[in-house]
Amino acid sequence: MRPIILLLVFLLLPAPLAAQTGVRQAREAAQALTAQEQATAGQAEQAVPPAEHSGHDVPAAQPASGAAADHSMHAAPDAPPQAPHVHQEPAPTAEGTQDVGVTEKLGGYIAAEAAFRDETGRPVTIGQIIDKPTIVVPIYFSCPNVCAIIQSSLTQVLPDVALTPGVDFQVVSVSFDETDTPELAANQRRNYLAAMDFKYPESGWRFLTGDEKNIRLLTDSLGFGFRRSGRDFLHPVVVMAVSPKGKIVRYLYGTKPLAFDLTMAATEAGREQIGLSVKRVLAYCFSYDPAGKRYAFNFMKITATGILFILGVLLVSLLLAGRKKRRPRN
Amino acid sequence: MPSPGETVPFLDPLPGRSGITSWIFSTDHKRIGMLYLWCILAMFAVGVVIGVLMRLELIAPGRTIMGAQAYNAMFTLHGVVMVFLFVIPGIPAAFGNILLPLQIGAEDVSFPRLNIFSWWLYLTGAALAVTSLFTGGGPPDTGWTFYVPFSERTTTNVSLAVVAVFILGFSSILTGLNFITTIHRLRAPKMSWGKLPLFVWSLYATAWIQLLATPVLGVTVALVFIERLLGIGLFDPAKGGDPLLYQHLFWIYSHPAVYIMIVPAMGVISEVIPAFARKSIFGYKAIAVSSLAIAFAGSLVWAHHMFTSGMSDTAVLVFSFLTFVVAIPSAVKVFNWVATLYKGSIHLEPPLLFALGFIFLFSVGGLTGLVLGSAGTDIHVHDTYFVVAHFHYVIFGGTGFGLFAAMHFWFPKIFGRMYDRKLANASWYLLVGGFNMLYFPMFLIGLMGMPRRYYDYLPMYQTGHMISTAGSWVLVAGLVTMFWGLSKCLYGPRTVGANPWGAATLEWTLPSPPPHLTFLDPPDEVPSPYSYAGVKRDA
Repeated sequence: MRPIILLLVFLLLPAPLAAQTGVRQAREAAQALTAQEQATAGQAEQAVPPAEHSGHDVPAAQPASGAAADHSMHAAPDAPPQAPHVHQEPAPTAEGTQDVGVTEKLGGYIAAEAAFRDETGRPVTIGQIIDKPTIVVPIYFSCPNVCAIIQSSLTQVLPDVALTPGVDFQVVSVSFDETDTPELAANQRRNYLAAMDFKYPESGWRFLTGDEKNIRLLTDSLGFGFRRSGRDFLHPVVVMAVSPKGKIVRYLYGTKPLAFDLTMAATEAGREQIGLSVKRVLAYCFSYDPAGKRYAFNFMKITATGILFILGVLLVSLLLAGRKKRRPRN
Repeated sequence: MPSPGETVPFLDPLPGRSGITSWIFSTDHKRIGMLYLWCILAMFAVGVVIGVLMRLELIAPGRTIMGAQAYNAMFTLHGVVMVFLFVIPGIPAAFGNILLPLQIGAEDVSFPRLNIFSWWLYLTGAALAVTSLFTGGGPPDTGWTFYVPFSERTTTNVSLAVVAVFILGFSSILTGLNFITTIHRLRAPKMSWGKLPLFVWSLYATAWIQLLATPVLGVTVALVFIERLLGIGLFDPAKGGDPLLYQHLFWIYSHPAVYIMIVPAMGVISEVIPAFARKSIFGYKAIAVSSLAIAFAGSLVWAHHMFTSGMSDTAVLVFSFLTFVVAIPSAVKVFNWVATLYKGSIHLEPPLLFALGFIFLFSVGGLTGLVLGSAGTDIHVHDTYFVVAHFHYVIFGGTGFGLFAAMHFWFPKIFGRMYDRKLANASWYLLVGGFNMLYFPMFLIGLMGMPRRYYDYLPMYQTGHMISTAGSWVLVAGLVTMFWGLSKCLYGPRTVGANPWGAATLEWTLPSPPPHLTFLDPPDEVPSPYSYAGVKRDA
């Protein structure tokens, strides 16, 4: 019996390994597809299903780990339910012609020249603001639900991020409503910092407002497609991690990003900096899976390291052990 | 008073221990080596018969002696039998087992029981491979590479065949582990790394490849098995899998496996040439290091089998470049052998003839390998008879002739008898002539576009195929002559002394055949393995 069990174990052991490999291959294929679509279809096709909300529904604040949070699935009369991973045009509405959704521009650069105003009304450009790993949160202040929900959840999550806010990373909420003002921005910041009992540094969370031209400049560079619908907006629910040099490194979907995901995203964004060796190790163990929209334990790298380590131990012990001592014969 | 084990030749039974069980359960490395030798020769015979039948089918266009399905099964079996059952275990498991402990002055390998277990695994794998021919939905028809998606869908008995390959893989891994440990731990006290015979160096390099690459093969064929059984879609794009993944996994083992095949043969040649040139080997360190370099660099070139599979251009260029890098240590060896012959006192005995055959045929195979390794030309000749000719020049012309050289070199040591040298020389001419007649036309029809693995072809290729098939008959005549010459002395008296060739490695200090127990006391002196001053012939 035992040999049969051993044989089965042998047969089954490699399965997860290869499964992981398969996932990675699929992942690469998905990335290639995304790039291809960007090249050919531009905004017309969406690589990622839009997570839009109409402004009327009551979204369940539950981050779907596998797909973009799609609030229209919950009783939205004007937007049909959309299955994840299906390329689909958003339903046409009366106002606006902009496509709603996310066209991932991983590896692209955020529009550094886009000019905004900070909470004090001082003019700043995106390039000036982004000098460290940054989580960009596109929202608008009068948003009746999801924007508030994502920002509220940030107040719960940010204290758990294992990095120093304002030093290792920052959060920048950018309003894409051109009617929002610096005063409203300052108000927002006060409210959300109050929700964290003012334990969070002001410099760790910025709120920007700007005019329509600069907003479009920014959102186009992020691949963030939205359009106005009356007083409200149709827009995806997503935050992006941007490196200190402005490179877009991650898209995190849903209303409640996990603290761990944010940490990883900021860490990856910080790779351009020196001095994050410990976090690099973390980044080594986990990689982003665009298909699943989450960080996955990097089975391949970990096992490969393990195998090389065991190999090294074998070689070193062989070399150190030297020759076997022979017993003298009688 | 020495014990019987120290005097009775290992081929003869010890008092009270005789019969078949004293062989198949023996833990004596020499006996295990002999078990392997008989098995691989039997498998070689099977492979040759299948090959000759395939050549016969191809003598004329259209159906000659078999149909398409039978032909598919034939080339699959020819590949599986020759690669997994003959060439890979050939020199390391047979001659390596017999000679490795003798050449380093050890009593046995590190793990004698593991050693006989390896042979049993080999036997089990071979038995399953043979069983797969006659059971299930008929013999496998995928080619020895078991490429997906066909291997997942064919109704033939692929499942059992891959289980056989899986088991054979473990045999190979355990042998590799055994040899590495033996070379590190059991060398005689005065046998330093710089005094290791080059055959041992080549076994050492080979053993590392066996240990590191073969598990990947095990994983790969196990995945094919799981796919067939459960259909989880690892290699199926419809289920999110990737068929290219299979090719990567397969060649990550199977290209290094080419070096498992050829490096031990290179070790044999490095023993034979100095012994018959009566001259120390030229560039000992370069040859030893080049074995390791081949083992290392050879592990990084697998994707040159996949230039037409749709990889990125970057990958193609990188793998093409690395492929050219492997040519360097191979050429280092060839130049060193030739330099050893230069101004040597050459005795043209059969082992040297086969070694020279190796150098010539391997060089042809190696140089045409560069045509294939170069990404541009590969597009033209990929999957044509050019490839078939190339790898037969390397594997048969290289490893095969290396094995023949080893057989003629160590035959007197193992059996205590000298074979008929005239027949051996005659067989060499037949073999080299038949070999080139068989395989050289394949280069030409391959360049003209004859695809491999077809039982039928256009009339324009017929001349080449006819010459090739006629060559196969000459080659078989050569093989028959060679084995006749070797075997007809087997029942005569043992007359050969310890050192008929006047070689300088340690095994030649023992009687021929060696007794059951050898080097119970490590040798007092370990001379340089290629220093022939004062070494007397003892025929």
